Amino acid sequence: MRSYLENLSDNIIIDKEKCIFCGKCVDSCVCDNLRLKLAPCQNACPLGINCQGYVQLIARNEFDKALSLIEEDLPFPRVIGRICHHPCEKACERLKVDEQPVALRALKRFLTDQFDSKIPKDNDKTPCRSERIAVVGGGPAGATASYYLRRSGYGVDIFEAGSRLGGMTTSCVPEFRLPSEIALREYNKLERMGVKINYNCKVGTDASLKELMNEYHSVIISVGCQKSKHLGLEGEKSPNVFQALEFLKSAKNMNNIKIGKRTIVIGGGNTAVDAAQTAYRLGAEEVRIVCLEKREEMPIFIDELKDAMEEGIIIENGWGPDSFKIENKLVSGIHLKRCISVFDDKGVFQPIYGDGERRYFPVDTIIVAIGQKSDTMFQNSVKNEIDFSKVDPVTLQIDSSKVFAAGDIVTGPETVIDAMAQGRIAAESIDLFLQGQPMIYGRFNADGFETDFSVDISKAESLPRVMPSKISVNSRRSFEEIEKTITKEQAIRESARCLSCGRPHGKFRNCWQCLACEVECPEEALYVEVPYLMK
Amino acid sequence: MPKISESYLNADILIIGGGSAGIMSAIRAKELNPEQRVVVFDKANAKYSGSIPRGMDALNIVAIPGESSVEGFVKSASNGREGIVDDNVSFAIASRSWELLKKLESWGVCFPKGESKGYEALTTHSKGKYTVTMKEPNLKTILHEKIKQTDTVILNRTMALELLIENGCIAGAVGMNVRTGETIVCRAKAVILASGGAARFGLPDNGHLYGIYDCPANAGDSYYLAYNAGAELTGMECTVCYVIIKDINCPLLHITLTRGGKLIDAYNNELEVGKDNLTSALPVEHFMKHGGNIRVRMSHLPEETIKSIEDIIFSTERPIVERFFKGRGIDFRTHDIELAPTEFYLCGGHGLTGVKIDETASSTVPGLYAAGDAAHGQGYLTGAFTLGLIAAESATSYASEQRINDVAASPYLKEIENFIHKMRNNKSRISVDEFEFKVRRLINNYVAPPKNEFKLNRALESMNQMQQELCDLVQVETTHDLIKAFEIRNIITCAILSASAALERKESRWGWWHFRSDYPEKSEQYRKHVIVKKDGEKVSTYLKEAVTMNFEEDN
Repeated sequence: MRSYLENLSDNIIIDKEKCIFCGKCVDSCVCDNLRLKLAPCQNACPLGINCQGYVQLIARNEFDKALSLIEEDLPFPRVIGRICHHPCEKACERLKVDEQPVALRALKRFLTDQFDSKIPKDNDKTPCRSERIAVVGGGPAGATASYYLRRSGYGVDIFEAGSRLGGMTTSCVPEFRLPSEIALREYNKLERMGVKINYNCKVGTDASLKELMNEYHSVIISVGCQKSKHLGLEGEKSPNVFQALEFLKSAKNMNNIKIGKRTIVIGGGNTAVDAAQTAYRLGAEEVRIVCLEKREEMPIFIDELKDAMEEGIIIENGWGPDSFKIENKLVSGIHLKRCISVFDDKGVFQPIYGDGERRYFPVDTIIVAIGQKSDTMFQNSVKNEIDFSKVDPVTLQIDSSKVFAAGDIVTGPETVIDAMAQGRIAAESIDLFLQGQPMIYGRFNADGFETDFSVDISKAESLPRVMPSKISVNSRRSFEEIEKTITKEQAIRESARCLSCGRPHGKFRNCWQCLACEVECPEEALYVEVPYLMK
Repeated sequence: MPKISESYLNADILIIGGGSAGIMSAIRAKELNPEQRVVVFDKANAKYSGSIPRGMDALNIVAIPGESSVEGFVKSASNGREGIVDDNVSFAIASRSWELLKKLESWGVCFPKGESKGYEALTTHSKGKYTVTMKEPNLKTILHEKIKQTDTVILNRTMALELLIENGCIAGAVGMNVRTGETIVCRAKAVILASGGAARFGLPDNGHLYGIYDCPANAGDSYYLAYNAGAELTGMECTVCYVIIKDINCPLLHITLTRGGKLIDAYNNELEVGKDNLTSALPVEHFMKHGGNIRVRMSHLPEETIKSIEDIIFSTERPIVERFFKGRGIDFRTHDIELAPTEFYLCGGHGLTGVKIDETASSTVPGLYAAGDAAHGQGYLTGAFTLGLIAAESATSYASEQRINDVAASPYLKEIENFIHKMRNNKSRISVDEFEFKVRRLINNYVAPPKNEFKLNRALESMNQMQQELCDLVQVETTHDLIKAFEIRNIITCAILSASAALERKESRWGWWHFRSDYPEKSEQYRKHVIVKKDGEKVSTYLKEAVTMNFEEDN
């Protein structure tokens, strides 16, 4: 129901060639007149990265500024630019024009490759606040939480069970997707910012959670889901049966793994595809992925599946492991049974198998990649003091205590960017908690964003999407990165496909002309005219 | 649409309003006791909120030692409001004013050099040069930066809806987030009301609901809150109106007339403006009575003076005027500037409306203080700052002896929920803006001068009806609209209080501001406050002596 005020003319003039869609104008508006029509890509991003802003800045040839814009919401763009599952692209309006979204991830990667990983200019290594926070687990969630807490002036100590930061992204994600050199340089900015990192320190064994709770003002549990799920079949413990996570870790460490010619990977997710491609690179000649899911049900990134298939990996959809054939204490074959459906009406995992159909494959190596779950050993010392099942889904506070949680440990296995978003939420919650401020009030949906608007695509021309080049199939036996960074010319060409969907405007037509918005605009892109009625 | 989610926090001092008075109050409270917990509710963003969003061109009241006396100001102020000002409040404002100037200067606020103890002072009062020129385009930003260095909890986008009262004493307030609709209950030992006057009151001639003189976010919230809490208010009948730049509704007189500008009427005659009334009622009356056209002329002034006027006007209080004049092709060197009366509104700093306070900024409710336009004081910006300081001092002292009162918030929250429920489920399709237009048009019809008993009674009838129609007819779909509905609730309440007080004052006073056609003369028996106070469901009005101070020397 539009009021008559909203039908007046808008006196706020936006120069879309200069605007970077940052929303500072909306933030400062005294009469709450301004709203930012939020581009669907930014709306879809769990971290709320200003996608429209950075793409438009690329179009304007301002790469430095574009990357700075990203880094306001994402401390580790070099990781995300290579392996994000890009929900932004799924929401891109371009899809309605020529069925291909703007290549947001590739554009992000392009930007990160132009510049070295750097820490914020105004970073003060010495904490200005007296409170110290312990972060258990230095994966994407913990690292992101640490970054924001450090930025807020707190002292941060990470307790990392392994020998490097980054969690799955640096221990398991294959080199051909995310080289650890690039990822570690990115995560290690935390150390340069003054975050203290205790490596090879596992909470639960090397340190106790109880001690941390006594010594620190707050604790974050961000240990992820590191335990592999088992099939429960006889023979699963044989030496030629690998759990996918261990397998990927070993490959990443370049340990000597013996891979047989015929390798079967059981599972239909990204881990399975990663494992299959890794096996291929380690010398397997016949690699199969066997999964319960139909092709379209597989919880994978379609681009990665394409790569795998190019490498000759065969996908067997709709099959489940029935039993192993064991000879001389090794698995020599696998019996499969037909899977008719995986999920029930409510989407719960409830596989139904067919009666008759069976298959058999002889194998040399089996890799089990059927999922992960959390390892809750860390909580034993305080189990009776804190109820770990009581995680507030909004604030991430556990049982109203000083302990918070973030990442896969809360959500179950999700994506990297989801984990990072969790990390930031936990950091913000802790800041409010330590300052004695309400943890929910005014925190969510308070930005003055508008998502309910339509984008005019009538004048948009169909333009082919830029595809990043890949190394040839012949070169895929190595662990070299498959995808190459797009060129500057490609980036500028691709950014032109962006429809620039969002913009700020004086929605409610109740401007007082105090000009706060003009003062706040970093780009001089906003101009306040005298409203027509008063001109 | 809001989902009712409640949050809670405690405070030693809760300040409602983060404008000039509110932020100064917070700064002072933290200076006095860094350990005490200070919370500020601001409806907008404290960095730019309030009547002074950016800068200011003068500190209107400064008693410069050896040059302009505190006593002289008290006399001037009393003259300017024809006796209906509490001298103890004027005294408190003026006696802290020099210290205030020094304080602001130490924070980086620019006061140009001049002849009066090093500052440039202008004559705006009969008893001396009290107006000191300030040339600071970033006044609010400076204040905001100062408060951000403390751990004051500033809750932006938060509108206070009700005060919590227990056993006749203040216990805190309930607020709502203007974007999310979440409610927040702040239990506090002391509360300072500093959310301005009722600037959005009458309808302006330019036809724009938001094209008013003062900050449109000031919807009389503090008056409503104080009234509902049982505090005494005064001056509700003092509906003020200034003659400023036509259509754009921005001030000009102060800056120009003090530098030699002339007032010209429709017949090209020069108008005399009395010193104490410079910023008050005279031009309005002339406007109403003599053909409705007054202009400011500067074309006779030396280039240097015009340049300095332009410089200050275009950079401090309302920089938008530069665009306005440019758009109309108006050059001060060759054109006159058309003036017109603003809408009628209620304001402590400009008029004398507000929570009745004493020299300690205390209201009649224990623990409740007021500063700035929300308080009776006639102090302009100086009043906002000095009363802000004083309120903080009083509140700090009071809070140090109190405990947090765990008063139940649920009855207040329930009431708010009922209000919202009604507004969501009304079958009628009257939008909030349409409704507001009618309310404010009715205020123009019946509450604004020229007043008489018939009109004022019609005012009460129609405002009571509108209060009912607000719940019965107005439909609200978003949080933004809901907040406007609460503001209109407050505006209607102010209109009822104004008409009630006007009925009590059976005389005319303050020129046009309270001109009654049925009692056109000023009467000595009404040289008193008209107090309004809540009495059950009724508005109680009565007269009260103004506090006077007599000084030995009457210069």
